[in-house]
Amino acid sequence: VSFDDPAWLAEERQCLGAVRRGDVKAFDRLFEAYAEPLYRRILLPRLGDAAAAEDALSETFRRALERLDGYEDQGKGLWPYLATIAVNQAHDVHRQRARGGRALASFEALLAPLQSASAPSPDDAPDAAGLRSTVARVLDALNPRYRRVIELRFLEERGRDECAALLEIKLGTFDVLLLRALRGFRRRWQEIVGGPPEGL
Amino acid sequence: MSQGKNDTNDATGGDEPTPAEAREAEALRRALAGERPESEPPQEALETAALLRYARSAGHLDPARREDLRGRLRSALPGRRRRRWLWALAPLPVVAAAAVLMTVPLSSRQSAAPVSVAPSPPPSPPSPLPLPSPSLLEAQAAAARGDRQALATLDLEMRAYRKAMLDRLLERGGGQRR
Repeated sequence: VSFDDPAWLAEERQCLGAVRRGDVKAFDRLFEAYAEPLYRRILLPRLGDAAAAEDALSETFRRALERLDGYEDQGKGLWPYLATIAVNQAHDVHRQRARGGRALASFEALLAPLQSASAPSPDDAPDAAGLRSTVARVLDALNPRYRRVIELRFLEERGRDECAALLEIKLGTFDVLLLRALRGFRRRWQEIVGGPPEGL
Repeated sequence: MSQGKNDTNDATGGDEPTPAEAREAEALRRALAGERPESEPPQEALETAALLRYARSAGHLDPARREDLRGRLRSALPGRRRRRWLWALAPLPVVAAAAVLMTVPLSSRQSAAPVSVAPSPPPSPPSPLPLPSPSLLEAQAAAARGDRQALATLDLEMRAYRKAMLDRLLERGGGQRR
């Protein structure tokens, strides 16, 4: 079932009516349906940081609830409405962070070639296996040393000290190697998957 | 901006970095650690790192964080927003009731005590019980709004308030802190 399915839209309308009356269970149903897709499909790829994306998700729902009386059902359901609020929220967070000199890293453009254009479903399960296999394919195309650096640091989530020790290099050398590995990975990703031109 | 070495020409990764590349590597390290970099970190490397982290977690929202968010958002539901201030004031009757309960036994003890042989000086009028400070009320309101940081402040304020209340009650009853 996707968010534009008539059965879901009917359930959603019922939930919305109940939420307007302060019904917690109805809110829980909508939150369960939309929180994960908003976070995974919109906020995290745009913000690149879990904590920032969680805050933005909270703010997205808060804004939606505050504006609930002004929401008009146009037959498309809540998803486009919530998605628009989430996108705007992500822009606001980027502006705030940029002003504070702590810019966030959006990887939305890198992920875009893998995302389907269809509306997500209430039970939206990420194509985690597909994404991981794509990452593995790109890693396979990378030189073994860069691949190892990325595997240790990002896939095995080892600390910087541990990575350097395992690779038998100094910490400063590890930092440079990681930078080169990430750049190498990005080049290979663009060749294999597509995405934005380098430097953008 | 240095674009680093082509990975096909740098199979060992052992090439000496240029000063610019070393600066970028340091800025990247700081940014990945959540520290403020001294220079602009290489954005394309940061984005790639974020993509790799996303791939590892499949972009899932942490279940504990999801429950926390849901709980806080419930208080923003229509009809509940207006009641939030009531929640903020909820602890006050408890504090007041505790104050009364503590005062009554002390008064009882005083009245039940045997009449002193030696004349005692007339009791002075009881000093008023301390009122909750504005900062305590602010912390309660913030905590009721779901501000988690306010919980620590609220805890500190409540400790101070309880201590002030207890001191005043002991002072009134002539008791001693055990």
